[in-house]
Amino acid sequence: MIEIKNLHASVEEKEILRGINLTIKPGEVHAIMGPNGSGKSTLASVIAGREDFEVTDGSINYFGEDLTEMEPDERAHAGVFLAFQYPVEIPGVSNTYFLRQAVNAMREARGEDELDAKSFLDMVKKRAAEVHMNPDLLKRQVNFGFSGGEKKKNEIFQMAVLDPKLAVLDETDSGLDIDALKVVADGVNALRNENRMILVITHYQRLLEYIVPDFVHVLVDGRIVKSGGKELALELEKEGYAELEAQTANA
Amino acid sequence: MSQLMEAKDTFLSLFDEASSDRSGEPGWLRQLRQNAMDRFGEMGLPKATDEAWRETSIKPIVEGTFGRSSSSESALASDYYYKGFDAHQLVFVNGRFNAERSNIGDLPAGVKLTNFADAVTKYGEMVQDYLGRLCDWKERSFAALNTALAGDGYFLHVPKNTVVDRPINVLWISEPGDQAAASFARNILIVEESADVKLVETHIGPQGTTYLTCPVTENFVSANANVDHYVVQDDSTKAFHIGEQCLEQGRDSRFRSHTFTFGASITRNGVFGYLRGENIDSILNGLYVLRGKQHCATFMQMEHIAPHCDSHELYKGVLDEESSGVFRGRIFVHQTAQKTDAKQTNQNLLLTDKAQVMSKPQLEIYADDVKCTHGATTGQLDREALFYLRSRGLRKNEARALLIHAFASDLTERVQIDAIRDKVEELLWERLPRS
Repeated sequence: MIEIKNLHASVEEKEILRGINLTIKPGEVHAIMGPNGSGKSTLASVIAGREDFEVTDGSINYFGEDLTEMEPDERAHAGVFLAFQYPVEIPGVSNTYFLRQAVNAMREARGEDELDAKSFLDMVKKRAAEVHMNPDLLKRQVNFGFSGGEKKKNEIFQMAVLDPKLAVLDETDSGLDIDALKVVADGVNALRNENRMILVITHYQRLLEYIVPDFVHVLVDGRIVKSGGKELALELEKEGYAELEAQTANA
Repeated sequence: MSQLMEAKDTFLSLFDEASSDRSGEPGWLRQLRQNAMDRFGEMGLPKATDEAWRETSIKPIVEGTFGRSSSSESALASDYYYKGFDAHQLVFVNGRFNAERSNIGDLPAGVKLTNFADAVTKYGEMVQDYLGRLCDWKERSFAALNTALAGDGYFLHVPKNTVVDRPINVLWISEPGDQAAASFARNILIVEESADVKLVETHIGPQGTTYLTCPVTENFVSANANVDHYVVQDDSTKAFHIGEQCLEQGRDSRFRSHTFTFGASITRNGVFGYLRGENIDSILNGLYVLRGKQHCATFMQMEHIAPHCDSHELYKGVLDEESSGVFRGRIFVHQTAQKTDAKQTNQNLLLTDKAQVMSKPQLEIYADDVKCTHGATTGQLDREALFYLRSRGLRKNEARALLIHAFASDLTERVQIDAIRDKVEELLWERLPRS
């Protein structure tokens, strides 16, 4: 379980998150929607532990531990996964090598033996099939020369391989055509289970037709101003954020 | 100034001490040495104000005293440095040929491979014909010193249409003992028409020892010949390595060189190329991986004289701690060299705030139908990439090592000989920061 309480966070001394409260339980899929600049990606970054983001108040309790005290790699070892809004190109490193390093780093942190090359490849191929990814992606350099869609698919593929407890998808749908969107959504849906927590951050309601969330939250100006079921997304689609933004401004 | 004079005297007296070695040499060679020494006497050592040496302080060399080492034995000579490297091996210890440790083996018919002194005796006319033709000792102090004091290096002649399958490894070990020593290997590589050879020059020395090594290689690559040339420099980090590769290529020839610099306190890699025939392919790659206060300067000059020639240079540097790098490259395209395709790239990765680099690729073009580009980038590790890797579970040091390795592997992957690639990979990993 992840329990975010009164979370305040700043970048370069500018406060972006101004009191977030959010609890996600195993098996739940939560969606966070909101206009540009509302703090959606900041929330994702703070959960994953990106430098430059300073938590000034509040807490993130993750299975009884204070997530904000952990290094980014320790968070990953504890099962936190962030699908990046802008996956990073790393020329000179093959996807296979990178993933094997990642998998073995996780195993080492859990006190397990390293996977040998064959067991690793078998596992990776199995996971690729589960999320309908082309295993050819493995041979290529990490995100290097990938199309926007391929990069996002690669994120979901990594998620499948790393098997996280908490997956945060930061605008994974942005910029995707409908075919790529379906592949990404199918991948995420295949990874839904009773143990996994998923936080979908999106700008567009369309994604939520394919990944149907249990809860929807609206983030405006660093605060969650409205929460509800999946129908909230439709409501927002009709009315837009303008009214909510106006309400916040008046508050 | 006086120190420069004293240093000059050190080398002048080295020349005098070596006079007995020269007594058996032919007159032309003794004369050449004397002329080069006289020229060195006029030029002296490079001054801080010399344009080509502005960023490279040779103060530690000036302040050092270097004698001649009498020993040609070394504990390091017991293996050939590389693992499982099936090669024709030549071993030099402190600038002297060590016949016992060498293992030249069987060469294709007509191939001449021996040490410099032996070549002067056996193939005197050929040596006379080639020695000093490319290395402009009248213009460069260390080249003049090398020509005057030229000690054992290798002499390789590959006749027309001959393919040397196994690579040739020339290993120089500097192990001077108590007194700092200087050595001046002089190498001649002559590859005749349509011949093919792979050659590795390897320089090593025990850590902590101080010595000066000034090797010069003159590479003559004839029409349609192919040469794969490697330099692996893993000298003691207290040593000084001032080297020079001179290159002349004939039409349709290919020369691919890879220079790996890991060692020495001060390294200077001079490259002087003359592309004289049409349709030449010249690829010069280099990687320098430095830490502590190591300094490595690459000074390159490529002259395109004939049309339709390609020259591509890619030099990369990884600079940790307080190390410093210099890249000065100049591609000179003569008016006759239409359709030249030249590209010069220098990329540097600075791992600390104290590491520094000066990069200056230059083009000088007198032909009007050419494709020439140059570029230099200097940066630090990409923070977003580091975060990306860490968010996937890699620890900070693993993530850093992976990114540095990715940057450098561009060059290590181009090595065509497994034993060499394994070794430079090993040296690279060894030097990646672990904290």
